[in-house]
Amino acid sequence: MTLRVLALVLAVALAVPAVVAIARMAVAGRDRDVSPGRRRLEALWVAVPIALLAVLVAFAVAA
Amino acid sequence: MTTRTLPAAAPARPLAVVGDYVRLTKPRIISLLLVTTAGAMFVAAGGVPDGWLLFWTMVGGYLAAGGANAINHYIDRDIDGRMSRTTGRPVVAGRVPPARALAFGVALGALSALVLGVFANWLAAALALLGLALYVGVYTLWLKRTTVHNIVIGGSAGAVPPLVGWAAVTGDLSLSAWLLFAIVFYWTPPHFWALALILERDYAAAGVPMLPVVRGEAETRRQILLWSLVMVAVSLLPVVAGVAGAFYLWSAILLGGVFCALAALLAREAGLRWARATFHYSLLYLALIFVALVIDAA
Repeated sequence: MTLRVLALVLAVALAVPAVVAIARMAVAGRDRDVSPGRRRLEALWVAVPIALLAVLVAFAVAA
Repeated sequence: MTTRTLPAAAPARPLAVVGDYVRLTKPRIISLLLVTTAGAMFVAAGGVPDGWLLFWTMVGGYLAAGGANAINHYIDRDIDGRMSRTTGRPVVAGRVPPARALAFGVALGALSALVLGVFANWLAAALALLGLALYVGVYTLWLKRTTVHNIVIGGSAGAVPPLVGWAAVTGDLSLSAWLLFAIVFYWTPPHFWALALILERDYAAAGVPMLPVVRGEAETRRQILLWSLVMVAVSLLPVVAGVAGAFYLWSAILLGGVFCALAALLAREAGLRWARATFHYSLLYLALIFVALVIDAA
């Protein structure tokens, strides 16, 4: 197993369950008393780092 | 019974005034930012970068971050007065007038752009100003007081210094530069939330919606563990991209393993003991992960 593959396997094994749990906690912790616009904005703040992570993994694999 | 009158306030000594203006820049925080800037420069150069370029980039980086911090003192002077940790800050304590703190911050920011533009390149200068704008505009003015995710997105400001260092050496931004940015970006939530657990009462008193204040300590401890796992995953991406090798991989696994172990202990046990340990280790972790990158690149 090359270093790159080992690093990728480890990174995915660590990140995927953590990201799923973070997303679930964000959904469970939604404040239903705020406006829909505010709820969308709060969801965006969780989605941005997750999307960035996916992009970085894709670029790192493609490099 | 005798009546005593307080002596008239003596004019501040020049050294004390200088000390207050230095304090406005938050030098202890900047030192860690400069480690990431220097680390990125060594990695980008594949060894030791030009000495003068390193020197001027450090100066420019300090000025940009110091300017952002001084402006932060001006904007946050209302809530700083309500937090025991920050009541002694120069603006809150009345030793530096707010307008002067603001002018000082703006001047440092402008000077940073000039220093980096002249002695490094204008991309590095623009990135330093971007970092200042993110810290002041996005974090301090917008997110800090309005969302529990304030430091997740606001952390992007603290992740800009490696981009400045990389750009100063190469004149552009490659995938490697963005991977260094990402290491700092994903390090910020577990680092700041460990601090927020320690300072929870202060943040609550100031009305800042930090995670422990809004969602409670138990969820904060769980989130610290989850974001620590993501941070370690991100720290492995330079190896996936082929820009770092075996030494860095094992260093990242070891350093990240200790981080996650502390975060797991924090998640299991209430109280501040493991929050303090995680916070202090997080500072060491960031410095050492960049040192490992530098050694690997040499």
